[in-house]
Amino acid sequence: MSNRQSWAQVIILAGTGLYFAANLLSGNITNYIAAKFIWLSWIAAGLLLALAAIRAIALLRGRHDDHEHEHAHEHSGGARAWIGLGIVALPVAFGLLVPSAPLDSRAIEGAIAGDLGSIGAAPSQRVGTDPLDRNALEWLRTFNLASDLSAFDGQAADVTGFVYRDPSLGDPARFLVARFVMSCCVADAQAIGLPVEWPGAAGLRADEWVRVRGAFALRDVDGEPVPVLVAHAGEEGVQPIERPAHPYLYP
Amino acid sequence: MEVADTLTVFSTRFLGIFIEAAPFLLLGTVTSGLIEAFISHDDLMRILPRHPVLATVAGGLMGFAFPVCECGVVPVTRRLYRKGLPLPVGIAFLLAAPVVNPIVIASTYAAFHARAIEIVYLRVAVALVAAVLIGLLFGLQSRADRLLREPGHVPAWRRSPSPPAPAALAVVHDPEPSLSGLPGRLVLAPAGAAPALAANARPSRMALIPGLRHALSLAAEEFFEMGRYLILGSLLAAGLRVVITQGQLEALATNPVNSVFVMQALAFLLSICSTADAFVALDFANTFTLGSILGFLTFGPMVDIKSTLMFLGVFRRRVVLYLILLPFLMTTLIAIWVNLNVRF
Repeated sequence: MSNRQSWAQVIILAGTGLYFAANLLSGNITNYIAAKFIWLSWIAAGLLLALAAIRAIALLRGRHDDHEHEHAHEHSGGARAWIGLGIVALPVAFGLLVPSAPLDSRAIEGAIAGDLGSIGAAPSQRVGTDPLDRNALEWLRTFNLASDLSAFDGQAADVTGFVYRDPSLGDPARFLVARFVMSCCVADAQAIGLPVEWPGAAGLRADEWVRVRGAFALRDVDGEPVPVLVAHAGEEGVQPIERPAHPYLYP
Repeated sequence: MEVADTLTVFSTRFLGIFIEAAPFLLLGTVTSGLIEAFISHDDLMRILPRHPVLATVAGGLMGFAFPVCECGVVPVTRRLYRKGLPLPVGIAFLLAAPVVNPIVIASTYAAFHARAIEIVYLRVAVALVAAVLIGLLFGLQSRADRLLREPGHVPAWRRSPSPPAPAALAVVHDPEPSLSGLPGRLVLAPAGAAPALAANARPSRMALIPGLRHALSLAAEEFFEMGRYLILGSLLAAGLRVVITQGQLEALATNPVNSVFVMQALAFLLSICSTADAFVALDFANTFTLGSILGFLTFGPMVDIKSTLMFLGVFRRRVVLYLILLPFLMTTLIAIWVNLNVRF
């Protein structure tokens, strides 16, 4: 490995470390991983910067051949080594070139409105919170555990999420107030949503974050009676809001 | 969807997998560096039982000493091979450690204990049994040196009363490594020479400060060697998620056999770290059969897209194929058996 490639390694290590640090400091890290794993990213940032520093010091002192013998096969082609370096630089490249964004309706394929089946509803996860504090996931769990959905007729609710136009909803006055649910990182993120009915729905932009206040009413969605959140008429029913600091829900 | 939209979603998925996995890879490479600096070949041989089967079982339990997930286990295994770890022991460690380690057991317990404590026991037992059996199968190979990607001058030493000293290892560049084992017989042979020991006269256990410096320097080097496979794997996993949706796969899960295959496919494609996959499996526990959840929790940590690519950095291609197929077959059979025979 040439001297230039060794310095490229230092730059990539430091760059990746700084990329982790920038994500952590800006809060963008929650676009990628669940809050409970953020401390791991701090470790990664620290280790990457430490490794960069160690390598830089070794290079400056000319102690480069310290472990040369172990990687004899790496020296074969300069071009191949550069390609390898390029691959490791990809995360930073993507981080710099593509604006950071959480998963949104662009990552959802097709209809999710009737998709209650795969939402975990273990007894241990029974929701005990005040109905007005329940988020979309907790509502879906509540519905899954309930034996009689008509019990929720008239139940007031207050949920936030992004606007998703679910194809199965049909009616232009309906949309889904959707969230992604994630356990560890976007690899396992799954979209969920509550159907909302609101006269001004047609004017909402997809992926706009909104706070929806209203009351559930059993409506026919795609041939099945489903609790639909009927938002209060007027502006207080569906309010545009800033994207929350934690765009995903954690089960 | 427009190209820019696809790129944004792809980028988020790719970076998500990388950001989640990178700390584990880094911890794995640092562990590997520390092993190189502070654990000698002799130490390793002293700890391992002499009997090949017992040694392989010990390999399957080594996750308690090195609690690593499937990203961290690959560099550690490679380092242990360089230190002269016998091939079957390393395979058992490679496949079992991502499950049979305190962190993963704790996270599985946290996810499942209220629902099905059996999952925790079954997960550990199935992973350990499958890993040890596969390790022993590899041990039947007559020429262990041909399995690793690095051209191995495998010193052929049989089970002798006392393992040869590193110095002797360095001398024996045996032209006929086939001595290391007859077909069908288990012989403990180090899977790879320890080039570090062979190539220089550095004492095998280093002093603290130079040792740490050396360990971190190696970790940096290894982050590049293993990192590129992790990154390629993350790119592939993110790309497949854009093409195949989870819903399409779930729709296929209809019976005790199908559901197992679907969950195996999901485990492979999603490439979720083993420290966190129990929480993901919990979400599937309502719709999927017990056996398929078990398959997801045992096959996924052994093999997924990113670990497959990392295996390619250590083993020859044919070996990697077996490292995918054998765990797949074994966990699938166990999972289907559980579906058909075990009632909770």
